[in-house]
Amino acid sequence: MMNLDDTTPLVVPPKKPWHKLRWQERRIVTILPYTWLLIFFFVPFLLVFKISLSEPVLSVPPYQEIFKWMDGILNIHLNLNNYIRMVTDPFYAQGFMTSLIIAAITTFGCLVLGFLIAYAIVCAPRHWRFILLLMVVLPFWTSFLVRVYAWIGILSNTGFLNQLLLYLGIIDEPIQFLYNNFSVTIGIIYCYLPFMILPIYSVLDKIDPVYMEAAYDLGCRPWGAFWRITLPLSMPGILSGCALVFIPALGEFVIPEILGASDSFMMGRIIWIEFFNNRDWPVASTVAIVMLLLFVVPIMISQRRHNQRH
Amino acid sequence: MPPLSNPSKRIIEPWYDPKTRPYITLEGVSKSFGAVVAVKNISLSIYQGELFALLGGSGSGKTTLLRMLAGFEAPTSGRILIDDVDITQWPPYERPVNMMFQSYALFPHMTVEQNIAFGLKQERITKSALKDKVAWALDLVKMTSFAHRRPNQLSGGQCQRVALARSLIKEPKLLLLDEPLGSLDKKLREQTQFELVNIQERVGITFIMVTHDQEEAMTMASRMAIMEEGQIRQIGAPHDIYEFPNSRFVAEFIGSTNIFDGIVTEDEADHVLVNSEEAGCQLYVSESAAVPIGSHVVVAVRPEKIMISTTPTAGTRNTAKGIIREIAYLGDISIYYIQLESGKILQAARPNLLRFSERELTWEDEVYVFWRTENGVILTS
Repeated sequence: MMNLDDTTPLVVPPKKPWHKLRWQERRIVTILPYTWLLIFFFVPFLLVFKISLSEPVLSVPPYQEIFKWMDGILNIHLNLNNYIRMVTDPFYAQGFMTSLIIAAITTFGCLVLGFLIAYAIVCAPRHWRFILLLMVVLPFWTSFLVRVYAWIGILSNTGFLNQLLLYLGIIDEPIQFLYNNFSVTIGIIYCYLPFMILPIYSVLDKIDPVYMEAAYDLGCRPWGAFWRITLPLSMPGILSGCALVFIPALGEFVIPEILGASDSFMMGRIIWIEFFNNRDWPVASTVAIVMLLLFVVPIMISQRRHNQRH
Repeated sequence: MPPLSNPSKRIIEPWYDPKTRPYITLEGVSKSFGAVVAVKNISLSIYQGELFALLGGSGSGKTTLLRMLAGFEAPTSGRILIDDVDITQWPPYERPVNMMFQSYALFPHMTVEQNIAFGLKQERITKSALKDKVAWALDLVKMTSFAHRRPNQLSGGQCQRVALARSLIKEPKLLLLDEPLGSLDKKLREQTQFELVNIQERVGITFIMVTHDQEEAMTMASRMAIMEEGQIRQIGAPHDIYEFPNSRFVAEFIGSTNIFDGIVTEDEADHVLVNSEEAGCQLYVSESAAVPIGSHVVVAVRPEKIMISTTPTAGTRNTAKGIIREIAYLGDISIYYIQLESGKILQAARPNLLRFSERELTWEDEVYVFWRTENGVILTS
């Protein structure tokens, strides 16, 4: 029998200080993004929230301070009228609805197109993939504004699309494609498509082809295997792609401004008008806050739940 | 090669009976990937209820052969028949064949239960029948209490069981196993070998297994095929292949062996005499080589068949003098590396009947080796 007591104290692993160091390092790494979020998201959010509760005045800045300190008396002047207006004035409800519908349609359009493109890229031979992915992101090298303007050239009454349809004899007179929600939808789908393709591609690329083989082997036809294996396994990519398209599409301002109807108001345009045309900062801030609470928070919560489950 | 086993045992060895119809037949199957020929003109008959092993090194074509049986690769030429039906052109989802993948390929987004039920979802069966079958499969692999876990919450051995249950639930005519125990550690592998054989006997499904581990193949298989460079070198029961290899390649591939080069000096119906300078003696093998006198042949003798003695043996055949150069102590046995007078190093295995410190043989001892005449094998290729 070997005597363990003689041999064990010889090697003492320096476990504790090393662990502590690692823990501190980890703290620093996590503190950085939180500090960033605090300074550039949470503080501005509070400022906007404060403005939304104030009253508009003709001054610089064009709103009344909520807190006033005078002769030892703290005056708190909370104006809830802006929030009441959001509910009572149908203009805003209409705006929220328009934004919601257009964002939902464009997200769905991006999802269908983006999934097909991402799937096609994954199926392409290896040496082709890089070129195909490059083609997805290549439009980013051109100015966003130029790309949106280019759609006027395609969709206008004398534009490329109408010319083509007239030439082919499919229509007798030009169709009004431009300056309505259709052209806005097309524009948003076009601009946000890469944000859908890239996350879906990265997830599809990681799915081991052996799962498809296993599904075929167990009697699943290709279409069934797609629905039951590929689609569920690519869910994380689909969800982040949808969030990346839906959230910015809700507040999109430039595309509706350039391609949209002048009487159709999406949230982005409403905020712009309130801020710059009406100089009503409190209402503009209220719209921004309501939008955040109404759409973005539920999405963030559902994403968080999804992440926790996996 | 004539079978060693006695005639009454042949009932469970249908391949000796010309009247039995093979269950799975490969007819001249070849597969090439561009210029590379992975499988060359293989013909093979496998009988119902067999546990057949394809054994070979990497690149021997064994996995390609398995994938052709599953339907993931189409043969370049040849036919595959199961139960007299030509399935060569059938897609994998229509074949009565299921596969247990090397990586198990359990669907990560489904529970154990859902994974096992997957194959039945395509079939039109009632909910209660499906439930019963899944319960049966879970019980078969003793995983009932893990039914609601996901694959990432299971150990390697548990994943292996779920994969087995999933591939058995459709009761295929043929089950393919790609390195079934490849990703388990040694102790678990030994247990699982027998469990897998037991399950195979219980369900009565024909198994074809691919492996590079000869111990695994020899323990489990009813018959095995040794593959090299896309061709089958030998087919037979494990003991037939081990005791009667048909070529130098097989003799050296399965287990270890001592090879003596020599020239045939006498070839009779019941024995062959081979003159071998390497061995330093005449080699007497009690079987016919059926080659002309003067042909170059090799005689193979397994290490455990070689006996070691410290005193000279009677007779001059199958015996040589040498010096112990190395001893590999493996616990249960020791391998002695004995240098003969010709300079050739011979391997001889001996069980360690005595404790290490008490043994009679040690380094640089002069010893005599000898073996029985029926223990040599003449190899002409």
